[in-house]
Amino acid sequence: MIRGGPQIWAHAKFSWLSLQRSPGLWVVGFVAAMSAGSGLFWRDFSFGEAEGRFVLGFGWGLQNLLGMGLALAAAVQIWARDQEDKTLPVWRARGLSLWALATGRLLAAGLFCAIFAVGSTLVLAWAQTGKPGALAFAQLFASAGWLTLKLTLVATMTFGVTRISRNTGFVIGATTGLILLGHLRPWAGELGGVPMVISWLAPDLSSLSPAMGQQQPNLDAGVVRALAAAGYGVVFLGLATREQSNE
Amino acid sequence: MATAALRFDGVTKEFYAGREAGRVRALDAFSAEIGVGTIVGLLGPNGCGKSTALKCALGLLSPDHGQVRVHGLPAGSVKACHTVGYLPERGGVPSHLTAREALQWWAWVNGTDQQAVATSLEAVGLTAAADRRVASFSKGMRQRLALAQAWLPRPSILLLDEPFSGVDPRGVDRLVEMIMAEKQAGKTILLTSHLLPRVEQICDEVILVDRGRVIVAGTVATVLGGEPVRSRGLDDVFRERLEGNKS
Repeated sequence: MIRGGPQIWAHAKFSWLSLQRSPGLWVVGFVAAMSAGSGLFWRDFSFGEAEGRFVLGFGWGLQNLLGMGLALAAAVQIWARDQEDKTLPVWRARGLSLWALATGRLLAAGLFCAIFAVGSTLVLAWAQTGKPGALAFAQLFASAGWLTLKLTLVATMTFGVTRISRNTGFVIGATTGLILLGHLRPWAGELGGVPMVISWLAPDLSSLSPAMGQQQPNLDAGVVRALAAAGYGVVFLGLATREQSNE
Repeated sequence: MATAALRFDGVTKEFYAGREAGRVRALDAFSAEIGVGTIVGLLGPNGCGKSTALKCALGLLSPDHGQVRVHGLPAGSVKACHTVGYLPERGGVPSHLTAREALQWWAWVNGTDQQAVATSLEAVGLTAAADRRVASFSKGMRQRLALAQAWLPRPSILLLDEPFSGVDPRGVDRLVEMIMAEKQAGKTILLTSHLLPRVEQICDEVILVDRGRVIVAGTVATVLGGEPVRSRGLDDVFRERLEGNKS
């Protein structure tokens, strides 16, 4: 029996194949990236500067929204396939680690999120500047990197929610609720009291919005945000290792 | 004294079955011993606790009282897990992989020689279908693949939950041949089944369970009461004993 890193890698490859062989997810991902980058098309119309900014702002927002939906769908796809195939009892019977399983699943979902984030960011930057490949590596890293972190966190939240229920509808609904909560944290923080405490259930997703492709990242604030996100990620991953198995 | 391959000592397991039913006792002071190299059939009506007993032996469920030992080791411990192979009642094989990929992956995580994959596929008669997705397999083909998966890491104990369920007569013949071949190889096999004539054919011993308790246990000949198999089969004994247990 392999242990540690190799077992994580084995689970990651297994989960990645599950995603890779879900053509619907890739079609939706492509359509989502193209929808976000539809500014490429609208650029050819003689809009004013303000309208142009609106279209691009709408595109960046759509990238965020559709990306979170895709991250949730990818995580549900990986988890639900294992549930449907009832593979978990067989793995556990042989002593496979649930930590390795959860981390492997997360790596696969993270790779899917990274592909969407980089692809859609490149398309959006093209729409914004009129030149394909306009982003410098550092800008691409800052923009797509933050989005990848945010989407991977959404996937981790989804895996964490599976601890509570095996019902796919519940998992989708509860994760969507956490995503909303994560975006309402700044307002909840201003309100204080109970709303603020409840909002701590979810990470501050609004602070992980991409840097719109062009802004320079604030490294000091970035480290804190990344660490906070990682902390929530570890908690949700820990919950995922207590997943309700289909025994 | 030689250590039993599997030993159940007064195992009691209860489940919460909803507000009205309350707690249901699936196993009630269940005790049994499975000798090394024997094939034992665990028989009983639906819901009598057969699958629960198997899951306790695999460490998938923890008994409320009593204990299960595998080769003298606590069930569910890493060392015990490495000695068992499990065929669940349904599923257990990943549908998004081909049969070959599924076994290659399983061999990888279990640290088994990859060459064993081809041998296993041949043994279960799936060489021709090795590169087809499991999703396209019939129930019988899935069962054979699940059995190949269970014995691929060469465990000394096989726990088979309803291996003949939903399999056509030719498929059952094939599975019986495979199980007998494993017995010849010195494996200990504990199986549950409702196909009593087959159980009679392949098992050395049987354990009849009702409402979580052992009603009768012993060699097939003992349970049949020494009468010729043709005039009185396990199904007759099964009905008589269960009727007797009700009154």
